[in-house]
Amino acid sequence: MVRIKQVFRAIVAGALTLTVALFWKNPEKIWLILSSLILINLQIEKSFFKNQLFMLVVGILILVNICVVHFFGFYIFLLAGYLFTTTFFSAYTGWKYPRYFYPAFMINLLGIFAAASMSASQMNLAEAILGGVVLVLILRCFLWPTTFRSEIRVLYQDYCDALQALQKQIFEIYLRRDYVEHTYLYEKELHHKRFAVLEVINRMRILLIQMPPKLSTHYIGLVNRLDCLIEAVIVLGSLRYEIRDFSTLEVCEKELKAAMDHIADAFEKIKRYEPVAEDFSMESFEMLYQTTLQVVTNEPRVYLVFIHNIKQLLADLKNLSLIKEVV
Amino acid sequence: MKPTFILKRSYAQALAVFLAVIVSYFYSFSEKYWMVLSALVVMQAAINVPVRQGMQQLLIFLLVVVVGTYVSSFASFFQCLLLGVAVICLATFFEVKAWIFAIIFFIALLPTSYAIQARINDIGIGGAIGILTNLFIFPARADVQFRNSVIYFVKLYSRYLSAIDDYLLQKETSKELVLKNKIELESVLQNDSTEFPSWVYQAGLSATLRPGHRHFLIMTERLSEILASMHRIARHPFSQEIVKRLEEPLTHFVREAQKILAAMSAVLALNKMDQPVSDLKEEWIAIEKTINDLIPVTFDISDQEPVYFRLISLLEDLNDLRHTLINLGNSLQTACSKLGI
Repeated sequence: MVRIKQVFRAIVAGALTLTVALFWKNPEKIWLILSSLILINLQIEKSFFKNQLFMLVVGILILVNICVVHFFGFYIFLLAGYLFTTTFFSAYTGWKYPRYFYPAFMINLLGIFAAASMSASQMNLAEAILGGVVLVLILRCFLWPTTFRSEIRVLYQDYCDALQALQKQIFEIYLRRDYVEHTYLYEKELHHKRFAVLEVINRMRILLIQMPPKLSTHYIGLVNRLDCLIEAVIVLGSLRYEIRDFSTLEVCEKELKAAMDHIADAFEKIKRYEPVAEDFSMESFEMLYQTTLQVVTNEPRVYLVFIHNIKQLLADLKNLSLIKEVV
Repeated sequence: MKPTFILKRSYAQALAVFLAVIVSYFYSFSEKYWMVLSALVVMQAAINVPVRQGMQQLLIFLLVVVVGTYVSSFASFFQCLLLGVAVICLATFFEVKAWIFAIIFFIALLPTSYAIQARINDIGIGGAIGILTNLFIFPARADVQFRNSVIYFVKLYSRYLSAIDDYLLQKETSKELVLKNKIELESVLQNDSTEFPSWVYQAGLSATLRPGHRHFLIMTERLSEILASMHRIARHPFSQEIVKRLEEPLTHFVREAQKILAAMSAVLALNKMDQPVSDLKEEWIAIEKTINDLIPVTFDISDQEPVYFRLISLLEDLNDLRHTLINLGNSLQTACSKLGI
């Protein structure tokens, strides 16, 4: 959802910039387009005002960098030395502060590109770049201001998608039962899906810090619950390293599938802000445990904990669906 | 990441650009920036898989420029601008690397008097400069990088484990401390974090390092899952009677587990272990006995009392923790004996 918004903003900026470029007499139209499209999606997770300020600073740095490149352009070793310095600082910034990698890289890239446009007039270049910056500053006033509430709603959707994907991956391991032969492949997938969830919850925490205190108090309970839900899903994955014989899972395949489908259905409902019905019963799984699993498996206790964890997850999802904060 | 590592990587990248600028001035076949841009982009390859990832970056770069140049040869300037803007807009749906290649594509669409072959030559030379710089100028040592990253994680896990233990035993200020440790660990386990060695999962890592590194990383990630499960149990406090019974065996278990983690850090830092460590067998037996005493004999799955399920979950988590630490210790032992440590 966040990505779709980014694409939409870029399309609007692109369309407007192209229109301005078509009617503008300045021969350096390319710089107008480049500067506006590079800057439009620059958001380093700060407040709207700080984002605008940061974008202005990046725009000015691009301009200054290009002007200096032109200044040193008459002597190749001076130019190479200057580009060495800018690349060093850009790379250092990108490594030390990963969230600033993109703006630092772009300032450097445009400097290198400008080194070959020595014939361009500096005035025209400056006009084009500043024109791009101003265009984006104005556009963001209309495209950017979103309320904290809508931001939380968007992140909530992303969170549900990411957690649902993690839960599905975990159950896939149990239903396919070839985890031992393909451990690395499954762990790699789990790793990526776990990261995706942690990324979203981290962004929510950052948003909470940015909110006014009254609003953050309103949402902090929700974010804590969502945090706990991640733990509830992660613990379901513990079965994969607790059991030695995966063929035992064949005994409860039907129950596992039913649980997976019901959890997926619960996630769909909470995404649509609908209440999760309490119509799923773990009785058949519990009965299977008592009659069969306890006998056939070497680790009966882990299955007991697993069944309990599924019940807890479903209870947590039901409680979450009853919260009004995101509606 | 260590500051010296960041400085070395930054210097290597800057040097590649410097060399590319000099070489392009004297030997370029097309616009001078192509050689430099390709060197810059290839240097963004994953730090411990320079050749394979560098080649991948180079091939994508070539493909993007060839397609852009070909399109610009028959499309009008306005059509090229429109296509370039459309591609940049669509690329924002993906990650930052896609944005960079979209900008490169846009630049490739600009009018040129040079043939595609000329650009390919320049890009090839720039890519070669980038790959060779990555290989020979302060090359990143995968084994050293990995060990340094894991040492950092092991220390985080140790602190988190201690905080969870305090939280389970309902000590003062434990709730804030455990949350602080959890957030610190999760922020490091982010995709864009430079601390987590996610490059271990990328294709192209040295075949001799790959299996061991991946196995070790999987085991250390497993620790984060076990600790998350223990944290979840600790969120629902036990009664004072249970806490009193658990205090001694649990504290002893956690202390011995932390000694194992400290020993692992020492071994990974290529130091000798100060003292021998326990295999946690006796400690776990003590906890198992305590928890079994707390759970009634008549307990079964239909029992609605959640505290017994939480106690069993805790027992299983401690068992998993024990097995994972032993597994990690054995992996280190094998590696150390091979390295003569």
